[in-house]
Amino acid sequence: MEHSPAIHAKGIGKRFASFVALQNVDLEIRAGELLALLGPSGSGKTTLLRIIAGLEWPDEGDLLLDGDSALRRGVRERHIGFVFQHYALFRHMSVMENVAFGLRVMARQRRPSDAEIRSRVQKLLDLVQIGHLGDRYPSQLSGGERQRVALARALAIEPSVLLLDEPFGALDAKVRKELRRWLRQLHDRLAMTTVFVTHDQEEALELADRVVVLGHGKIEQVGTPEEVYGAPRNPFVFDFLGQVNRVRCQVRSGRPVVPYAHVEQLNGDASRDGPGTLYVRPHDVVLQRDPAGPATVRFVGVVGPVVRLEIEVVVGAPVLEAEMPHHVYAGYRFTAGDRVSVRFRAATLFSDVPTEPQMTPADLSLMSADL
Amino acid sequence: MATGPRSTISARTEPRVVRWLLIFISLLFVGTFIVLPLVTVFTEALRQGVRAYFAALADPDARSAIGLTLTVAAIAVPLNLVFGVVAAWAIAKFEFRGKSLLITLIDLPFSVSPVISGLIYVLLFGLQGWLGPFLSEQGFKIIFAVPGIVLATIFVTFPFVARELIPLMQEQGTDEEEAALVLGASGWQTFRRVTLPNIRWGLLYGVLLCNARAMGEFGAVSVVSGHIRGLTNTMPLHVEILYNEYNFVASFAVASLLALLALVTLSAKSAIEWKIGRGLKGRGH
Repeated sequence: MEHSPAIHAKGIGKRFASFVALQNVDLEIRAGELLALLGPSGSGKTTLLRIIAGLEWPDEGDLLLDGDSALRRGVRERHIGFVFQHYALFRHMSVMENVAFGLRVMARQRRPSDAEIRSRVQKLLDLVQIGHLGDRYPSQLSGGERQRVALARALAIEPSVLLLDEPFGALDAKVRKELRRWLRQLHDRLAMTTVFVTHDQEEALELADRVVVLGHGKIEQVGTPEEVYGAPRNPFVFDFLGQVNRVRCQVRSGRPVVPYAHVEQLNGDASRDGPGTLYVRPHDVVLQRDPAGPATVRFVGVVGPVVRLEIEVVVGAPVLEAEMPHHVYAGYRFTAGDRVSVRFRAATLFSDVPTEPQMTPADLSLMSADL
Repeated sequence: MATGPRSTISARTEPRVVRWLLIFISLLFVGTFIVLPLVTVFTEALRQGVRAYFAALADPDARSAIGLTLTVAAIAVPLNLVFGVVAAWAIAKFEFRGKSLLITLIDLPFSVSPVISGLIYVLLFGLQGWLGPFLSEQGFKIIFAVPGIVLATIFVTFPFVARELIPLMQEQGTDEEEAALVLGASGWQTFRRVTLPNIRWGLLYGVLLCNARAMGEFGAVSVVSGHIRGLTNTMPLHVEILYNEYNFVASFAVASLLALLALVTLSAKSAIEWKIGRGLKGRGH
């Protein structure tokens, strides 16, 4: 890396009473990048964001902003833009005054004139496309508009870093997509180091230059969206990013043995014999019509961008999920009850069974519904 | 919807007779215990005409009592305002040990008889009390003097502002304060520009109630005052003295001022409630 990173977390740890929120977190955030902190609730992602902002203090470790330790500086001196999850707009102030706040509280010698504050606020409101809403109060705005006000307010102090806590969490699905695209464009235009927290993998993968996957207060993986989705480093990341089938297997002389399926491309370490788990994406499960095949089709869902099938191998065992494009499905026309043979186009092996409780995609969708 | 009127009737579970009975009982109660006494105060005060009324108020002892009451309120209310804001701030925005104990202690004056409160001050600061001898050596006189009255009034009225603000501030949380800090505001700027405007109506409401009680307090003040005419007599005490002397017109004249204060407080309170209600509706979520 040619420059010192914009934000550098070194061995950061934080606990709340007996709950360990973060442990030994090392992370370098590059100047100008758009970075996602992705993880389930309780993974410590918001705590990390608040430590960077100066709203929380770590119990151990150091935080460098542009190469200087920031822990001696309070939240006021860090000059960071922060967008709160529920926006935290000042309810008794108009949109204009909300955005102007950071300028109005500046020390007199640095504070711009009233006229300049007005013109800068108007420019910011135009930038976030709510130039006509300056006289409204927060309660008179929609969720998406509030989000934009919060963003304009954070940008008003011309921060070096922009932090967003679940920026789209409180919005409905349609507005969320729209704002996401818009935020990406805004970031490209301002080229400001931006970090956002999310529990939504789709959001992180679509928006960010790099994704940091957090679980149980630790960084599980850092990489581009392609890297973390395509080559998850451990079962946690695999489970958290996208749908995945977990298939129990026995590793023997360097090959995982699954009685009913053939593995074509194997990733992961198969050097140790013993029990293991294969992680197989649904789109890597290939089915072939075979009257003598070991598996039975239980369910076919044709609605949506892909055809989704559920396969039962052993009665009572967890079903396998398979996905195929409509044009492939058209060549087979599987229906419930068909016997099939199964191939795994690609699978990743994790040989020793992790001790921590595993979360299935179903658990995760339940969790995000709670939020 | 064809059976609209019918369903309206059945939707109200109470028959008409019961409703009217309930309303009648409430009105009777309010009339007997509130309206009637209030009317009596003014009729008694004006029994011998407007001139006698104003003459009673112009009496030097009465004027001194009014002055003392205003002085005491002018000291006690601002102090309790500051205390209430500080206590509510601490309780609503921070987590610390002994928080629930502090909340309980703030409620103490509500649960203790005012007479007992007064007696405690006599035991503390009186000539036979713990601190009394020391203080009188230094030339301070607390009991049977204005400072004692102020202390007793502060004690009796200190829950009002804090009680009003704690739930309000708890509900509002700390998000906006954090936002202000991140934007570079100092602690004082955050308080003045963010916290205070958000609690202003609740604060005013609390101050109003605090003031009404401070001016009207009888029990605690009576114990510590010593009833020295022209010196340590507040309005409520003066009303009692005049009444015991069968000087009814003067007594009720002074009482009518307190009644007026109550009416003003009540209308201001309603105005604030209306304002808060409208604010909530306008800015509701």
